Amino acid sequence: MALVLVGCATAKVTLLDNEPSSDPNVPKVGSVVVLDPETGVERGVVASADTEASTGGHRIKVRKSKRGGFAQMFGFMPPDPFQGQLEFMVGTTTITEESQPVLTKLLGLWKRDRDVSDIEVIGYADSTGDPAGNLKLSQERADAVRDFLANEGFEFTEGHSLVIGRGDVEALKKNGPGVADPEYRKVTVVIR
Amino acid sequence: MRATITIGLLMAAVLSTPSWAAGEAKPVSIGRVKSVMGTAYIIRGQAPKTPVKPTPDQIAKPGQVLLQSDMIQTGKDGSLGITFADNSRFAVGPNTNLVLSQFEFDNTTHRGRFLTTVNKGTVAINSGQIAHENKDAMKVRTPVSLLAARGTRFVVEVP
Repeated sequence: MALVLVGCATAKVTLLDNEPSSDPNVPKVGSVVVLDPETGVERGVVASADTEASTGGHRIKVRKSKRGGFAQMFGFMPPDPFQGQLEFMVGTTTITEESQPVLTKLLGLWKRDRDVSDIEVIGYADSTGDPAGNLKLSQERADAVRDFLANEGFEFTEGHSLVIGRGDVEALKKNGPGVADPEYRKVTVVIR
Repeated sequence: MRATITIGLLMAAVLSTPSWAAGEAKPVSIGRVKSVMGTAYIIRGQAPKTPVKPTPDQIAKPGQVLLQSDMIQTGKDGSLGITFADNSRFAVGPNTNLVLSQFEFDNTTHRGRFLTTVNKGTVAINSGQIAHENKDAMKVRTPVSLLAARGTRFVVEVP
């Protein structure tokens, strides 16, 4: 009679605290749900920082992680992408005084990591005026930021840059028409 | 540094920059290799499920674009840092073989799907917008389980 040895395959998941974030929507720690790969049936949830679980069985057992914070692994984690917001004067492509420091920070970050970065510049407008004009204004704002950054040496190459205007769609969703909300007179910039 | 930005209307019309999705037939970049240490490879096209013997032209380089279905393989001295289009980030450890099986992302709504298959080794993950905006949309498949990330930082190890 043939003897069949079946290996006890496993995989381990370890949950850690999230990185500190200024975004109040980011929790201190998230969770990982362990599912059966064939049926999708839930085997358990890892939901506390510095805990781990072997994921191969029918039910998982969560335990305190003995390994520590994986400092060496996370040493190789790329930095958090820069996400900045530049606010504009009403109906113009001129940024407000308050947004100048964001621009300075953005330039510094990019110069540190210039060879391996993607950049996203997205323009918006509030819901005053007509949608066509707002779409045009939002594109002009995005282009203005793009031109400024290009003058500073940023390379906007195809495939690694996105420069678009999204008009007043988001402002309309939140406020309805005709609301001069400064939150939407903006350009967001992401460098990753 | 110039203090303010004031730009003419004509420039805007002339200089609009194409987006990642500019050509439909063109493969869409899903992320970039940010750093490489030691032996690491990106194996593209019909990636098999098991580790392969890579060729020199498959050596991973910082700045290299990643596509859906790419396989990432590191040697015993290899590590790799990756940033994805939804701001997810991976640190891939030594002796690892994984496949970026599925990555779909709408950068307007931040909705999408992200599936990584870890065949062997270790990967540390900081989830991004896909996991934040959609419950269980970011998943990691191992040989014995399927993991759904809910806005978190975690490590997967497959011996």
